Amino acid sequence: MSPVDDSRLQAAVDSVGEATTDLVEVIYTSLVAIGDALIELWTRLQADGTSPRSSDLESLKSTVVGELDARGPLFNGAGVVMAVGSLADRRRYLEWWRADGGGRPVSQRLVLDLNPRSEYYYDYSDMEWFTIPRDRNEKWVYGPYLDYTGVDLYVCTFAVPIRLSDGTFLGVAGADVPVASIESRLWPQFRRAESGLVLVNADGRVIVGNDPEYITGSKVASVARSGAAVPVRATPWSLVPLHSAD
Amino acid sequence: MPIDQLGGLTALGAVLSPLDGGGPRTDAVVQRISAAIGLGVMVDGEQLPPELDLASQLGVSTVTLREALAVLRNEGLVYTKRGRGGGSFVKASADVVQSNSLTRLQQLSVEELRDIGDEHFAVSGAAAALAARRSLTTDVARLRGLVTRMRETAEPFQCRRADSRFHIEVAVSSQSSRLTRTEVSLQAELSAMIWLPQVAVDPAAEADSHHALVDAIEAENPDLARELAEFHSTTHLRSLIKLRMELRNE
Repeated sequence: MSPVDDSRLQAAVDSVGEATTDLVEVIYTSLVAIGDALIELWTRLQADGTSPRSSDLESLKSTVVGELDARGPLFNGAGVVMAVGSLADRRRYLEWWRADGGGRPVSQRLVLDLNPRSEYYYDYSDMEWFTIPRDRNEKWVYGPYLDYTGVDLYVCTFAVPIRLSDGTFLGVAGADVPVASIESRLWPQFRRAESGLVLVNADGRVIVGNDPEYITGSKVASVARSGAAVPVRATPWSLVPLHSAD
Repeated sequence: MPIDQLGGLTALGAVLSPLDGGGPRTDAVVQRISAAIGLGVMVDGEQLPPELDLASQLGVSTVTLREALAVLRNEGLVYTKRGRGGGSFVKASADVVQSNSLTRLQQLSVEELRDIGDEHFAVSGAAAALAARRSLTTDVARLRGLVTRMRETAEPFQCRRADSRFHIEVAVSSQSSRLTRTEVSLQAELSAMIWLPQVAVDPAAEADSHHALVDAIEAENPDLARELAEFHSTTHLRSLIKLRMELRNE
């Protein structure tokens, strides 16, 4: 092993870790705002004695588009994904909007394949970004993964649970964050690190790194991770310093 | 007519994203919708979106869309009901899909067929090798699920869908958008032909060879994974070319 300058490495880990936590917290703040808008809408409809229907959710558009505008290229799309059976008219439903990508204030509603007979049926109720917020009541981020039945992008999907004050689970507020956007946000901190450093998810898949051997999408073997991995606050991710072997 | 690169990877995106490039738009729309039906994105009896919506999603005029729907009606892939509750509906019976695939096969020269096969050889081999380097436990579990489904399905139509889905999921496990997009296009083009009854693909043997590929991916053995995928691709293309030659001799 070559001698590693511990204080420099520590500084790099701290700097990338803080930037990552900040980034993730900004994302979750947006999702909580979207979730709150749903709770408010839901409470109002119930107070009127109305069972919420899919068409009622259209009024969330202004909140969602507001968050899309505020986050810029960080968000490919965002919205709410409803608990199965929570709406009066549709068993599964999502109100999800995508930024047009050109910086114009035009947004597109995402239409997914919710036909159970289709080969590419988008059954979100067993997808990890939905089940963990539902079952463990935790904020979660899933990925990186190639979301080819959804938005056709290499993304991380962030999600927070939405619950009424009595604990009823309404669904999740979520956002798809392109891995390329995470990379460009964190690159300045990574560049300052003078030795190899990678940000990996809980399964050891690389999200961003500064070493050409360990690029986005590749795996860091658990042997290499053990001991050296530093957890990143507010995320299920960690930073792994790559010691060069002599 | 060569099939267009599908616009997106997403199930509906493959059908509904705007067509790019020039060329005959009607043919492109016909191919897009036939491909979606072949892959199982659009299923028997499913209603197509209203003409205005579908045309705008595809980025074509309603005139072009109507022309394409007329062609699809002639091919028996779509039927239209008038009046209340009317619209265009998918007709994806095995007979219709098979007779269309056979026609398609006869339109291709042996050279064109070989060339599609060459692309599949390259893409499926590379995707398998990268999947072996990059797959996680959850990817392997998803692939195993598709192998099991194939083993347990006697129905050829279901089997074919599980097969094309399997190939696409191997590409997804490679983490590469480009390879996946190409694999989706290749499956749209090839899978219905490969599963023609005349080619006589044996589902059990198919499931066995997929099983071996998943083992290689799980074992993180990229060389073996590539070799198995390439062999699989070559074997299928050879059967398809053999059928094409027999049809020519008749």
